[in-house]
Amino acid sequence: MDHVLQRILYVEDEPDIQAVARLSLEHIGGFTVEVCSSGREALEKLPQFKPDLILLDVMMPDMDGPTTLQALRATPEGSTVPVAFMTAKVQPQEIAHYKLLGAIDVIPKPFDPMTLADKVRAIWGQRHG
Amino acid sequence: MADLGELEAKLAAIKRDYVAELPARATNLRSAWILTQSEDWAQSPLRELHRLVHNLAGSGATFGFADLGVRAHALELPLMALLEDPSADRNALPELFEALMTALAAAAKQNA
Repeated sequence: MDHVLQRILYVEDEPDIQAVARLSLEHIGGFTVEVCSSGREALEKLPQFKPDLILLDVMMPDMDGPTTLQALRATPEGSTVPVAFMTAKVQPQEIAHYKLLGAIDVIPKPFDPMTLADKVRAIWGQRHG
Repeated sequence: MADLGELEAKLAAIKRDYVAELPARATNLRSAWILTQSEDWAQSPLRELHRLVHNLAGSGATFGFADLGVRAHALELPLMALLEDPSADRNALPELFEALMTALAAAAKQNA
């Protein structure tokens, strides 16, 4: 069922990037954001937070983005939640690879904090518009 | 929705915090660099060194330190190559590392 994007689970290990993205998504986008510093934390918070969308950094220690996506997909709550990767690796073949893994899109890093929320909304719109 | 001035002020505050932490990051980076070499480029310290450099590549550019982002990315690539193939060429790494440290020091001197 189509619905409005409201709740975003954002997974990123870098605190400074977390802060900028949260500010952008909450204050510009008006979204409700839960920030996780690791894939494991995302797996823990997923059932309670019930996100509409998950934004997943690709390169993280311990569990990287693709590994986290795989783990999320194995849970009842995360089996169908749309996931977009955030990464500096945005060559066409790299984007194709991430989509093959199950991502709905890829947000290039570094991102512009003033336009991140619009980019996320556009990705959501492509899927639900 | 947030007032633009308020938003810019909050972004500036985050950037100030980031800049204030750069000297500590430089220290950590230097330590990781020394450790990686002393352990003969073993995977574990190399992975940590790569992580620190990768984070600088992303955050530097996000906070408007283009040179820092570029220098970090220039080092990140051969470090990743080394992680994937331990026999990869390491000759360029010292120069790339020192260029990154110079960019870090320059960014740390800037006022947010």
